[in-house]
Amino acid sequence: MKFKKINLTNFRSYYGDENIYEFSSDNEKKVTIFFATNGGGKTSILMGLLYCLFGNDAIGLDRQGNCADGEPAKHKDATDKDNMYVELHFSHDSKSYMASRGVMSNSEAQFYIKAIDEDGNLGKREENPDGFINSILPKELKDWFFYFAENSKNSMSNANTINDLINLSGDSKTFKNALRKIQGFTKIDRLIQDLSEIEKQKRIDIDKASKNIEISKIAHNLEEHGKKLDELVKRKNIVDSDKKDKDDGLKNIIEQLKDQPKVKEMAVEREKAIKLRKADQNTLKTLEEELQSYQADMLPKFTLYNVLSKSSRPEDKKEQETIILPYPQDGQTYEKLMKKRICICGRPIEKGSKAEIEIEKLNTDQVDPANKYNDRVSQILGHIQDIKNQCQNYPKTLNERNAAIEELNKKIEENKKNETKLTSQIKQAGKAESTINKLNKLYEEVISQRDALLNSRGSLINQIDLINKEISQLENVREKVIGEKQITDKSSSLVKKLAKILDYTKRKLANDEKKAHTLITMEINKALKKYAYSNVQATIDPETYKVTLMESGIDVPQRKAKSGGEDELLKYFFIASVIGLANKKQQHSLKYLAPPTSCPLVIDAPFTGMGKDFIKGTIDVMTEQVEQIIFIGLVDDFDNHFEDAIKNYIGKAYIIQKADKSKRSSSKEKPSKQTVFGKEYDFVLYGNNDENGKPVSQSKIIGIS
Amino acid sequence: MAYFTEPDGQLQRKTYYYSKDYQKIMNLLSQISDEYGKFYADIPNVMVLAAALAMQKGLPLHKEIPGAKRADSYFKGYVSTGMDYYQALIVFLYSKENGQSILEEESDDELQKIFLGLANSGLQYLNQLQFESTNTNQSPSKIIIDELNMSLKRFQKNQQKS
Repeated sequence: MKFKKINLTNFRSYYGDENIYEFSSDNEKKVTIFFATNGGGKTSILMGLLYCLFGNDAIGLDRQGNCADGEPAKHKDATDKDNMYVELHFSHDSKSYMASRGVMSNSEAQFYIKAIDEDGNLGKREENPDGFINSILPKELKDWFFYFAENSKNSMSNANTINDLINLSGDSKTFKNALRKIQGFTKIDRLIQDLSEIEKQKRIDIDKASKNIEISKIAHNLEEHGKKLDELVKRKNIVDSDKKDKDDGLKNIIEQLKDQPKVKEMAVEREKAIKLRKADQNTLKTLEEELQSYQADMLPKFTLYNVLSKSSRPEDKKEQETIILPYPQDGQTYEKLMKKRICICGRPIEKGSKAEIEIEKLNTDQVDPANKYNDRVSQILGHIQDIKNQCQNYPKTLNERNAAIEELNKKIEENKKNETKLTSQIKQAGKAESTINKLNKLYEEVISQRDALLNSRGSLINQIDLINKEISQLENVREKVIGEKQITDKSSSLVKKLAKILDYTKRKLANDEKKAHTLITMEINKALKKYAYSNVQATIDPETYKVTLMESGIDVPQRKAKSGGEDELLKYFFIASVIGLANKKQQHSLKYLAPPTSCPLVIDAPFTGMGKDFIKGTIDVMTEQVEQIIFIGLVDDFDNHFEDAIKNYIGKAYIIQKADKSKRSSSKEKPSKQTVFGKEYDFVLYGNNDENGKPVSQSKIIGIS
Repeated sequence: MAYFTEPDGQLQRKTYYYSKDYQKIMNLLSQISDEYGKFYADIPNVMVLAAALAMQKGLPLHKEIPGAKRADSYFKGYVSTGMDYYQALIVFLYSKENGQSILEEESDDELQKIFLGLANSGLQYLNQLQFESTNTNQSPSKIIIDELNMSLKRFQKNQQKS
C-alpha cells in the first residue's frame, strides 16, 4: 500500500476543502515531510490518516465529537452545513483507490472506497470498505506503521510510540506478535490452526464412525432377523394352509348339510298328503255312499219300469201288455193323442189292439180334464216318464260316478304312495338327523378352530410386520454405516493428505520464520555494523524474539537507553528490517505462504530521543527498507543533521502554518517567515479565510534541494 | 193324494206297517241301523222297493198281518216324500184288470191294502235272501246290486225290443 494524496476538509485544524497534500511515490525520494509550527496541525495529519482508514476508534473520537487529545474532529469554524471528511488516495496491488470518511452536513456518517481508473474516474463503491482496508492493513497492525510523538502520549492515552512497542528491557511478546503478523506468519498460524482443528475433528469423526461401523454385528442381526422372519413366514404358511383346509372343510360341511333331507319340510308335506288323502277318502266315502244310495234308489225305479214295460206277472205274460196312455191335458183330446199312436211307456199302439179300443172308448167318453182322478193319473204318468229318463240315464250316471270313484281311488293310492315315500324318507331323515347334528357340531368346531387360526395368523402377521420393520431399519443402518464407512475411508485418505499439508505448512512456516529471523538479524547487524560506533551485535531469540544488543559479549541496552545510542538505533533498524522484509515478500522476491502487510511508515516527531550521530544511519536504513515514509515534525526539531541525513530522500515537503485571526494580514503587510533547513519561506497569515472570505490552506509546498 | 191328504186339503198322516218278522231286514236297508250304511233314506222307500220287487217277481200278496194297526213297526208317510206316487203306480200296475180305476179316490183303502200286501211280500223275499239263503255272508248291498243288475239287464233288453 502506498499513499498518494490526502484531503482534510474541515477536519480538526484544517478548515475548508483545499487542504490537499500529495505524498511522494518516488522510489528514490520516498519521504514526504511535514514541517509544522506548534499547533499547526501536525498530529492532525496522522489522525486524518488513521481516521480515514480505521474510523472513530483509531483517533478516540467521543460522542461530543472530540478526539482523544480533546480537539474537536470538526473544525471549530465549520458550520452545521459544512461537511467534515478525510479523503485518502492510495494504491495497492497496482490499483488506485480513494477512501473517504466523514460526517456530512445532515450529520450522516459515511465511509466508502472507490477504485480509480487510469483516467482518474471513480468507480463503484467497494461493498465492504472496512473489510477491504483490513485485508490490506489489518487494524491490529496499525500501531506498527503509525507512530505518535512521545509527547502525544500524555494527551492520547492510546497513542503508541516506538518506545512503547520496542521496549528492549520489557516483554518481547508484542514485538514477536507484530513481527509475525506483519510477515503474515499469523495467517499461516491461523491456517495451521484451522487445518489442525479440521484434522482433529475429522479424526474424531473417523474414530467415532469407526466405532459405529459394526457392519458384522448388523449383518449378524440381519441374519438373525432373517431367520426369525423365515420361521414366522413358514409358520404363517402352515397356518394359511391349515386355514384353507378348515375353509374347505367348512365348505364341505355346508355342502353335506345342503344334501341332507329337510325333515321338517318333509313332515309338513306328508302331513299335507295325509290330510289330502283323508279328505279324498272322505269324498270317496261320500261318493260311494251316494252311489250306493243312487243304486238303491234306482232299484225300485228299474223294477217299476220293467213292470211297466212288460208285466212281470207270469199269468199275464201271454195275455197282454200294460198300456198306459197319456192323459189329455187342457185342450187335448185322445184323438190328438192318437195321432202320435204311442203309449206312455213308449210302445206303439197297434191298429185293432186293445189299446186302440181303449182309446176309442176314452174318446167317446167325455173326459173331464178337471177330474181329480185325471189329475192323479196325470201325475203318475209324469212320474213314469221321470223314472224312464232316470233309468235311461243310469248307465251313464253310473259310469260317471264309478269313474269319479275310480279316479279318486287312484288319487288316494297315489297319495298313499307319496305318503309311504315321505314316511320312508322321513325315516331315513331321522337317521340323517344325527348326521346333521354331527355335521353342525363339526361345523362349530371347525369354525372355532379356524377362528383360532385366524387369531394366530393375525399375531404372526403382526410379528412379521415388526420383523420386517426391524430388518428395514437394520438395512437402513447398514446402508448408512456402509456409506459412513465409505465416507470414513475417504475422510481417512483426506485426513492423511491434510496431515501432510499440515506437516508441510508447519515445516514451511518454521523455515519461513527461521529465514525471516535470519534475514532480520542479518539486516539489523548489517546496519549496526555500518552505522554504530561500537562493536555491537544484535541477537534475536528465535523463541521469544527478545532482541538483545551485545557489545563484546556484554549486554548494553540499559547503558545506552537514555543516551540515544545504539539501542535507539536498534529500534528503528528493527522496524525498518521488519517492514523491509515485508516489502520484499510482497514484491515476491521471497516465496512465503501468506502475504505480508506492507504500508507506509508514518512517524510523528521522529528521532527526538536519538543521538544526532545515528540519525543519518537510521534514515539510510529506513529509506532502504521502507517503500514510503512520512515524517511529521516541528520545524525546530529538524536541524542540520537531519537535513543532511534526509535531504536526498525527500520527495514532498510541506510547511504547515497555524492560522491566526489576530494576525490577519493584508497584502500590504509584511508576510511572516518560516525558516526550514536554513531557507526562509514567506507566509501571509490569513485567518481561516482569504480576503475574499474563502477558506485557505495553511500549508505551503516547499522544494528541498 | 187322497191317501195322505184329506178332502178338505189337510194333511193326513197315514200309518203303514210291516211284519215284525222283517224287522231285521228293514233295519239293514233303512237308516234305522247304521250297521251297513244307508241304502234308503226311510222306511217308505224300503216299502216301495219291497213292493216293486214283489210285483216284478210276481210274488203273491202277503197275507194280512193280524193286529197290524197296533203291533209291528210303523212309519210316517208324507206327501213330500214322493213315495205316494210310487205306491199308487205300483198298485196301478198290479191291478191292471181294474184299469185306471184303482186310482180313484174310492179305491184308496184297497190301494193301501194291495200295497202293504206287496211290500210285506217283498220284505219276506229280501229277508229270505239275506238270512235264509245258503250264503249267510251276503250283504244287503250285494242283494240290492244283484237285483239292480238283473233289472238293468231287463230294462236294456226291453229298450232294445222297443
